[in-house]
Amino acid sequence: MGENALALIQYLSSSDSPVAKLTEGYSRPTTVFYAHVGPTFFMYSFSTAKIMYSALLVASFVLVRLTFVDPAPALKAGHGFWREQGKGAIAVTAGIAGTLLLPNVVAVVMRSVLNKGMSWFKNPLAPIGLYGPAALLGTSK
Amino acid sequence: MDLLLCLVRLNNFFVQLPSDDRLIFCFCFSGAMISQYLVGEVHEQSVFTALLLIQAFVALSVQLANIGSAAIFFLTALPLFVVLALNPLFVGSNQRISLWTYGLGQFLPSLSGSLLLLGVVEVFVPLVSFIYLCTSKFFATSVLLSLVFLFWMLTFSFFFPSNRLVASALTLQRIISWLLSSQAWVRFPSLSCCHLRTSSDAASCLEASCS
Repeated sequence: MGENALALIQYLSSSDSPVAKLTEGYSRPTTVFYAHVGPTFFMYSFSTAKIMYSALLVASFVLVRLTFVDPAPALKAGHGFWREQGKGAIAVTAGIAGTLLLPNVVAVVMRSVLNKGMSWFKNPLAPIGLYGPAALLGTSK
Repeated sequence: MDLLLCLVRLNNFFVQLPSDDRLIFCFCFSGAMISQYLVGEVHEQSVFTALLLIQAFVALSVQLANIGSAAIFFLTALPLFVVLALNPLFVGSNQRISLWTYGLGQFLPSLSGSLLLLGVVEVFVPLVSFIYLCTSKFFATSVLLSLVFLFWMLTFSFFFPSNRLVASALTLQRIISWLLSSQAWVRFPSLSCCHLRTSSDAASCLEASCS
């Protein structure tokens, strides 16, 4: 930590430091970089990212279309694929809404009804323990 | 390693809880089937494929909008894509989603989601607790909760498609609730020095630690 801070300070105070250029305004990032699963570090440009993500979307669409089996082929002739994906998307969206809403509802109850608004601050992981089940309940469609 | 640490901490946290908080936990754990009624029965594979398509679509559209990097959606969609391609190998002629598909497909998303989640809670829970103490504004806690559960959702997105998984999770939760409510926990003395139960408790505790 100390070595990292020293290296940062030395770099930022040197002649090729980017600090002076910051007055010219903010420039948007153009590189994707992250460390994932331990020491593995990934770095690629935004254009590479666009190509990769487009490829994934197209490949997923093809895969989903190929593996699609109409759950009720006799009843719903035609448009089965889009109808099913739409229903799936509604279920996912409802799950997202539930995951975000229910912990907040429980928090309001905790604060207003039970008067225990502070009880989830005693440990950084406490909100997960307290509101996680409620979020999961929202997640399960 | 981080996950292990997280589990150990969570366990320590449960042990420290006063008994009436444990009751609230049990309440949260037990009512978990209610939202099944909100959306009707949807085919499991449709939800799974819709989840993959939505994540791949969000990854591409956020990246195209040049807002920033959408790598997290890519990182969660890619394993889903791979296991969906492998799914026929697991299930054979049976047209279902195998539990192996869920297990393998969620390993990496769970890992990336939990790592992001840990970083967020470690910094923001103490920070927001001070904001809440000073201003009593509920808005900050609401924003924090939504942020935390956005990552929670990435971690546990495999609960969207499957009722089978929800059922197993419920069994697990019942066991946990039983453990929490059983007398075994009472024998362990509380380890924490102060329980922040209400804001006045917290204020007096802060005063005590400052003086």
